[in-house]
Amino acid sequence: MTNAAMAGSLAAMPGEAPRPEPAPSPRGLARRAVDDTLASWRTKTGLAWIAIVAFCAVFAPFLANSYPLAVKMNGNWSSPAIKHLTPVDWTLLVVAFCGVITLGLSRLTFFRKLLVLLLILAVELPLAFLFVHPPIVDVFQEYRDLQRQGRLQAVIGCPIPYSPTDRLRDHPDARLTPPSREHLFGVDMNGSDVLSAMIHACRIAMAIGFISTGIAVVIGVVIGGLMGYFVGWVDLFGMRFIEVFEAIPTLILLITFVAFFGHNLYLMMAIIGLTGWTGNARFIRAEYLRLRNQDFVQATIAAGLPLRSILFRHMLPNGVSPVIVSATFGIASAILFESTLSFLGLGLIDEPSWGQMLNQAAGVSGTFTWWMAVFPGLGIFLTVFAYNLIGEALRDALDPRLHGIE
Amino acid sequence: MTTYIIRRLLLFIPVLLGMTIVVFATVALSPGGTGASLLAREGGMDPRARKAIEAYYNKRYGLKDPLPVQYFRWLNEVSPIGFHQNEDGSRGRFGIKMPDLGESLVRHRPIIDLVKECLPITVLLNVITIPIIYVIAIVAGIRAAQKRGKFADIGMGSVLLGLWSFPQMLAGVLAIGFLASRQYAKLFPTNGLHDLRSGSMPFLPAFTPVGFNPGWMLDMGWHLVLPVLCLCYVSFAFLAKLERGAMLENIALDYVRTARAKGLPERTVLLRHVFRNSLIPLITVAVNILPALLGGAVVIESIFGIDGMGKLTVDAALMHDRELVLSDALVLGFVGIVAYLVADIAYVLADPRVSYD
Amino acid sequence: MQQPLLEIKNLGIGFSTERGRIQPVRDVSFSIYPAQTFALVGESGCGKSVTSLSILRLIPEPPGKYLGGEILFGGRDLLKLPEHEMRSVRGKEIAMIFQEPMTSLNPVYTIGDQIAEAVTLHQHVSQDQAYRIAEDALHDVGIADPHRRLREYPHQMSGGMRQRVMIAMALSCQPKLLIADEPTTALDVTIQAQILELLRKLQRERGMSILLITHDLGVVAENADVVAVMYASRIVEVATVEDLFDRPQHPYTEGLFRSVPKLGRDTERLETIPGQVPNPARFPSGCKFHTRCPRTRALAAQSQPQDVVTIHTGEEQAKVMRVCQQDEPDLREVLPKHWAACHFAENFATAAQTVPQLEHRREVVPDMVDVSAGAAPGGSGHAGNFTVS
Repeated sequence: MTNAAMAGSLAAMPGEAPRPEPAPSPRGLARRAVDDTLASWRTKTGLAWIAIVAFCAVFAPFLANSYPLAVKMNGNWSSPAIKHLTPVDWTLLVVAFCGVITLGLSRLTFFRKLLVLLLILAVELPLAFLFVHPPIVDVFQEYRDLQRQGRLQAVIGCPIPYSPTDRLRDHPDARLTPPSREHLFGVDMNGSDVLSAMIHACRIAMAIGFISTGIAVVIGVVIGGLMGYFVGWVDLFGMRFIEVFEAIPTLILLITFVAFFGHNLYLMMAIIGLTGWTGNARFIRAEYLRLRNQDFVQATIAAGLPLRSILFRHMLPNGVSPVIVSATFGIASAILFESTLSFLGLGLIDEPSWGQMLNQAAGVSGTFTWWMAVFPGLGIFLTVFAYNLIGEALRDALDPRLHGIE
Repeated sequence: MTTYIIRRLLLFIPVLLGMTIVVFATVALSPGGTGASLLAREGGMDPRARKAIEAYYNKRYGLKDPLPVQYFRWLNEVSPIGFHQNEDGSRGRFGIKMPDLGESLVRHRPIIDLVKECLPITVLLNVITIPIIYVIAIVAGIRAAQKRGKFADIGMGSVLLGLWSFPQMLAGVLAIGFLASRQYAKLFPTNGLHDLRSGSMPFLPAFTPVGFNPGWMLDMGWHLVLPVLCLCYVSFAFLAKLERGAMLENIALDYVRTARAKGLPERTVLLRHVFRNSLIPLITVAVNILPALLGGAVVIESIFGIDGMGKLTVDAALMHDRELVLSDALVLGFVGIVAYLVADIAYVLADPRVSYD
Repeated sequence: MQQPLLEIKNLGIGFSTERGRIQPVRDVSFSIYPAQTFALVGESGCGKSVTSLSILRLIPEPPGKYLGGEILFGGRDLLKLPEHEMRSVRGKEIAMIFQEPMTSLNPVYTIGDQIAEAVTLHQHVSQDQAYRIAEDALHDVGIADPHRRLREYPHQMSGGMRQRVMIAMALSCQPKLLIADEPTTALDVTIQAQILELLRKLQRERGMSILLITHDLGVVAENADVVAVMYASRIVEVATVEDLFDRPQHPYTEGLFRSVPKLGRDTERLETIPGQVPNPARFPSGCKFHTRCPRTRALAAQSQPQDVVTIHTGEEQAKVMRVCQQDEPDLREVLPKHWAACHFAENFATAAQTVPQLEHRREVVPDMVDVSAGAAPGGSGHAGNFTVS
């Protein structure tokens, strides 16, 4: 007996002779997989960093803002920071707040919680866009000037009192300075405080990560599911389609799409999603090929259930685990791709992005502004590393479980 | 096995066609469609330039024709087998011809010339990189499997994951910043593949009365060190992890126990039996690695100023040179498909179990 | 009196698992004589495979550990041999075949390569000669067209054929002892018969001993000369095959026989041994079988209260003999040439604790049906496929 088999057979002892075990339900496995993953030190480290990024993403307007949190002027308190919150800011805050609350509600299943969150989102979005109107013009040095003039009685500023788009027009020689007490991570060539830009860039990272991957998963699951279920010509044709997308180097494909379709934020998300679906399709196809011969699938077909029900309500929960792993790695690669594109100058222009800041590091004349390379670079690296760690832990938790029983 | 190879070659054709369709669809569906360059510069163009561009587009796509016709027209231009087109636009005879990849409207040069200049450089970068990563990854993977469980192995897993997560552009920027700039250590050259004086250098290193002349080959080698290093490490980390995983997986299999029971020394078991099996997933994964390497070259070439296909494409995208981007995607996609085919054949050679379905 | 070929004395093996240290083999002793087929019988997890692997020192030593005892072979203690000497024993003097022919061969090398590898490892021959030896070996195990087969890969062959290849490979260097760990369990019944017949034939021709590990009493009845029954990592009964089947002394062995279906008997339900095999991490005290033993319960019903004790097994309570719950019986020669480890076997109280050594070989009965033609297994005395588990 091999080592594994030996330890396994001995450990399997409360002991029947090898009787075929009934396949455990997906929920039992999911629970165990989640617990295993969460127990691993890798997941904890990864989640710790991602929690920091998520925190920065949600609370960015309160962490890094040229507008103070609270000002007392002429005896009245006001909050410029809150006044300048955009609808997106509000949405993120509301979703985060409600998300934490619903997570605590253990009565509901995971899917119901998700549903509740989506409902809240659906209600909140139109409200936010209708009622929240931040001032159109941003005069960032407004409150700094007021303070210098002594007209403010009390000021409670944000921890980092600079917005990412604050070009420091009142301190033009602060541009492109290395880290100092004023600007912890330095200032870039436009005058933006690097730390502030990094905090706000967390949003882009999270958004692109999740939404692009979400798109990639949906496309991949649908195409892969159809291929795995129908086989024959559908499979043949689908495989060629997958090979087309795999043969063209992803970055080249991205550059091509960007060159032809443009590079605003939402387009970027769609584009990155459109290039990342092939892995998911392959996994789902393999799983569905395996599942379609199993009895429970035959039963659902015999019962006359509609196709979408068979594919997505019955087969999908059984085959989803490699996609979960792939999606986690996919988030990391989506962030990496967006950063790369921004670095090359083909990415986002308006929003602050880590890759974009990295672009400024290597000046044309060969001057190397190290703080523009190290800090944003670290941001990208740590985030990608964190997701990869979680992906690895997930893979270890899911794979042996599901495929060892067969 | 030959039937398998022939089948794969035949399947190669629809993939190629599919790629052309995807690429063309990108153009056609984009805002402005196939004639977008025309529209973009509507305002400031003088009529003669505009007429030339219009003629170009008509010849290539047929701007007023329906999309499928445009596609076939373009396909005909681009493929090496097709109808020759006469100067006035009428159809010539059918036969083998030089693929016409169009003209770069920004650089005013036929694209095929640009490709001829840049493609060999990208291929060179990759050809150097691939053996390096495979050899080092295999050695590292075997080592990790030999020392499984011990600290070196567990630590190595996370280190490799970290390497894999480290963005290539950051590595490149840091490398140039710290190792190749005047501010810190100028150990390596910053830019390009050749020194400015390399035109007058002899090929091999030589000692001249004025000192050591590195020669063209060594000079290029020196310029290649940093770019290749930055290109390697991501794929190497991935492959090393894969190799270790494959080795460990195989060690637990039954045939290893049989080999030991035969009386083989542990080293032979590992190197002859386990290793050979562990190569199989490595080859399978080559299919994904090769396009990734081609893509990675994009970033590295841009950072290090190496005039390869990647840099060509990026510059083209930045300058809105749509024709060039299009053709680059096509060419690199084609290279990717060829690489795919090679990997497929290698896989068949490696695994006798493969079923030809 | 011949000298035994292999003598195992007080072998103990320990294992570190997630649940702590366990001992899959405890104080196991037996001897195998030349040209003898020694069957080691027991349920899954009783320790028989671990015992066999330990003879060739194939137990991986980080989780496993040899806790003492001796394995004497050819005048040497195998447990104390340095590794490079052990390697010349493996494959050459003692060979082993395993249960899963489907996965026991390397999929990327031809079978010719793999057999020749074994040959060149232990014999000083050229590559060509090695391949010729391989071809002869394939022929000996009954594979048709051996020359062509040499160049084939394992996946191109059926399970039965792969097992023949394994046998050919094992026998290519003329070992004195062949350890066969459940060689036919993974095969069809008809192929089973063929493989066993092949092993019997090869044994007769070469005078080789076989240590046959199995849980199938039918296989034992047909092939074994001497049988040892293992339960909960110890040997509980040793006898000649005829004696064992005629007069089993240990209640576990009796239970095994009772659970075998018999032709002509009209039963609604097959008998089983109640309860479950104990987990080695949590062995009961005293005799490891006492929680399931019908003999001790029957005796307890008729004994004085001071000799009886109540135990709780899972859902129920039962009365068993106190001595069974407290003392683990050792293996004693309760009848001439018949050892058992049960307090209430015949003559147990007065029996001596000798080392089981049986130089017995069965009478050769011509097989009643020609099994090599692939017909139904008629040679076994009982119908059907018996399994213990």
